[in-house]
Amino acid sequence: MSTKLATALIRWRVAQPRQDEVLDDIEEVYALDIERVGKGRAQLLYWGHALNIALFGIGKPDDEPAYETANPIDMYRNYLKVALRTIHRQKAYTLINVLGLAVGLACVLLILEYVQFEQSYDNVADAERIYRVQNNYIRNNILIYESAATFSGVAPAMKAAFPEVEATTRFYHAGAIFNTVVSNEASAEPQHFREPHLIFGDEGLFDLFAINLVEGDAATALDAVNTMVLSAATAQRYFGKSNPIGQTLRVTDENGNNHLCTVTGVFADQPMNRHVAIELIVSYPTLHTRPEGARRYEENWGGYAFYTYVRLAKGTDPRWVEQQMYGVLDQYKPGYKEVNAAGERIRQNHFTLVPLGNIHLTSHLQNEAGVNGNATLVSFLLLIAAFTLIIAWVNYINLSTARALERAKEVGLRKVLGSRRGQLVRQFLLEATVLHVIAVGCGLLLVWMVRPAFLVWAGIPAGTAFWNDVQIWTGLLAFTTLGAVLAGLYPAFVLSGFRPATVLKGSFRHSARGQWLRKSLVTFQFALSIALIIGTVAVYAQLAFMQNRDLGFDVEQTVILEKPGNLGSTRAAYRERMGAFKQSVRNLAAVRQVAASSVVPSQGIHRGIVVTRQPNSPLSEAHSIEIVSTDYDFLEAYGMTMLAGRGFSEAAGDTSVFILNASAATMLGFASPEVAVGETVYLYGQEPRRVVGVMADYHHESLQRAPDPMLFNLYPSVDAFLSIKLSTQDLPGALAQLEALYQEAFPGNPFRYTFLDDRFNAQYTADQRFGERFRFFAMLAIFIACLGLSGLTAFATQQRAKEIGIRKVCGASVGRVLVLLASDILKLVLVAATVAFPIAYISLDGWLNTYAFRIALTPMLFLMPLVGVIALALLTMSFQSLRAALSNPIVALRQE
Amino acid sequence: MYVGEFEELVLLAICGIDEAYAVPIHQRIVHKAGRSATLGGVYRALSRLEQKGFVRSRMGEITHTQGGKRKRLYEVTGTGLAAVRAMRTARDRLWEGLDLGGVGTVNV
Repeated sequence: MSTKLATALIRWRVAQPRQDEVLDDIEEVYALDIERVGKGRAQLLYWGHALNIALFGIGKPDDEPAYETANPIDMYRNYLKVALRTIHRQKAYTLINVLGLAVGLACVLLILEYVQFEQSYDNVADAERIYRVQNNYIRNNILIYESAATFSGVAPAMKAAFPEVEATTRFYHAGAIFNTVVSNEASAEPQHFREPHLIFGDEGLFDLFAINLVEGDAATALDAVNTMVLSAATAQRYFGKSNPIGQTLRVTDENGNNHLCTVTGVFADQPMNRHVAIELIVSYPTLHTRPEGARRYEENWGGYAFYTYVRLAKGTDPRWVEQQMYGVLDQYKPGYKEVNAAGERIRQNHFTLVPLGNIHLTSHLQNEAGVNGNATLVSFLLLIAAFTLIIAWVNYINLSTARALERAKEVGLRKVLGSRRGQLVRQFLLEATVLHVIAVGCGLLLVWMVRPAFLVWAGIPAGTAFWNDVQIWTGLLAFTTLGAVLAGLYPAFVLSGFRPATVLKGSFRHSARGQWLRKSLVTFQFALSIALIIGTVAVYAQLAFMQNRDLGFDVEQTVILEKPGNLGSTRAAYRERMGAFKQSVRNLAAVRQVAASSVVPSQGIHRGIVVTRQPNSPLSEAHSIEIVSTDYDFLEAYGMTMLAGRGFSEAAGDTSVFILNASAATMLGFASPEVAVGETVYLYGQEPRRVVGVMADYHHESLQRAPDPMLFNLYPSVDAFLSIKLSTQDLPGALAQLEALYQEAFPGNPFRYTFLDDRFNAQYTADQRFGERFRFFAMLAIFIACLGLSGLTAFATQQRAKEIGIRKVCGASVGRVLVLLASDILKLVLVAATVAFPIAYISLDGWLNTYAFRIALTPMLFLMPLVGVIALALLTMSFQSLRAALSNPIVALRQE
Repeated sequence: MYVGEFEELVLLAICGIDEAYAVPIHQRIVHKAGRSATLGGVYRALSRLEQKGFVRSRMGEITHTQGGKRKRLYEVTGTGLAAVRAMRTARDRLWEGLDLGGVGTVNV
């Protein structure tokens, strides 16, 4: 019987450290037994020993400790020492790694802070039970509008109809809709400020919006007519240090409304993460003092201009409330019960309850109370942060394995001295941890340096609770350990797997599989960078396209003035002054033309007006259209093109006339613009208007939309907006003149102007921001990719030192060698491009399709970034490649 | 702590050997004491004795036999010695006055 099996059995059942010892003993006994009783019996005895040992095992868990536990503390001290020495010796490589990780981490932290802020909007008490009540309007199964604000009657109706509605509040955002000026007439120097954040509201606001009244009584502050409360900052602005309570302010607007209000309270300034910014609240009953006040502002179910919020009792389903609203609507709007021939309702309002916390990121209706954020952008940024980090870690793995050669001798020696694989793995994991700790330190330093600028850029206030959040710090800890483990594991295993013999002999060659992994990692990095750069170029191209495209009207050199908010004495007197002002402006040499209108291009389209071809048509044949009221000069001043007919003319005695745009003409069913001229359409289905002309479509809003049907209504005394076309390049001079005239004509009003092109381009701010951020991260990605590439090149040239030496000896020129090295990298980049192109194409195509007017995705868009990336890659590796190509072949080929 | 029967034999064997490792211990027990024992049993006993603290082990010098491996050498601790003496005292006291034959010296 052979003893080999028995040996194996023993090996199996004896703990590793005791195996040799035990087997020695067994063999010694075996030898003695052979002498004593002969081979046959000795073998039997051998088996006996083996089985006996196998029965209970030696050194197995329930037995003695498996091996002498070496002192771990000493070993770790050694590992640390070696790690620090390695860092010191390989400064460049460490720098690259740490930089990459630090940058990635800094990115992630800043993005997280931004994301957390965006997601923290409106986090008041019980926010999950607070909803904004919105409604839309559908006629003949066509959605006419979707509005963030609803009718004034909704709040009281809901309170009455539903016991489940705990509390309601509604406000009228006067400051946003009309030019509202507030004046402090009692101060030594007259103070007039335009107040875009002035609302008319009720005390429900203190409750639902967590507005804390620091002075004044919340229960009564907004009860009486002509009272108001101010934010602390506003109170400071008007009254400085003196007590605002009891003082008066005059609230006027461009419609001639005029309220002298007493201050009854001061509330703490609202934090920035609220979807609507509120600085002054005038008591809601004040609206009743306006002409037809009660009808328009209280029980009104026609005008949708009132932001309404409700808090539901626990457990109430908002969807149920929405359903019930149909019943409530029937009560108050019996006219909507009318059905058409098919038995469907002709006109409907659907009410939607939107949770308060969702408004900021997901609601983008026409008449939002403030500028809302973008949930897509938020998730997109998170994605980018993750990518940056992944690239940094990929780099680390790449560089570590590439640098393995340097450590090979150390590893070999350690193994010879008795190091076990697990110990080696632990050593390299520790090194990874040390690097990560340093990287975290640098990352935090980076964040600390960059953060102020970042906050400004992102529009976040400085005092966010982000850094106080324990989760962030535990997250950082998790990052360090997780990163160290993940990123360090592969190199650790590769390094600890070296065979000491091969390594110490000096003939160590890196495995083919390792090469492949490294190459694919670099390719992945480049693919990502290429895709990001293509994206950046495309975003900018689209933006430039939108901003430079002919809008169909003259947008340059146009100053827009809004109607003054403080009209002074009487309506008639105001009209006179407005007329005089217009004339005096016209007379300025710097001014080419002055025109007035109800809206200017770049303002939102509401399509709230109904026109029909026949008088008293059924509603099913009515069309919704956007109306712009203008004076005689508007179309000419804006240089709009007429397709048929003519513009408004005073000489022709135009009175009740319209001009349609081409889309409107088509919508109303006219075969061609010429056919429409002279026809009559009916405003609101009743009032006849004659069409005197049809104009070409122009872009009233950003190019994200196709032009809407519009009609221009002649209203010579319209004065909501004055468009002043300048004929001079001296803008400051012209503005100074305008201001002088303005102050003379409308004292008590701050002079505020905008330029039309600025207004128009402001529509693109969101897109611009998007482009900026995209670009930033593309730069970042390629920076890190280049870091990785440079590290890799260093390794490659080192590996190929002998090869290069031989080539040079055989006569290769420096250029030839460079080409050789470069072609390797080039191959990688090209492969990366083939991966990146389809992904970039598909994503960009999808994004561009959200725009009504978009650029085409040309090959140039893809090739240019590729060329750029290739150039960058070549540049990155040039230094090392050049050095290798110029090196003395003797140095490389010398035997050590 | 008490010593088991076999463990006592192992302890005594160790005392009689200069460089005591598993094989000579086993040999001594088998040949001198005349008791059958397995190598495995010896190992287990040694392990238990070490756990109880009656025996300590150290890795010896590199031997000059083939392979040059180091052996685990055992020696009896003070506690072990005390335990073995206590056993002997206990046994002798019980043996006193008995006339059962067998090999052995009656202790005085």
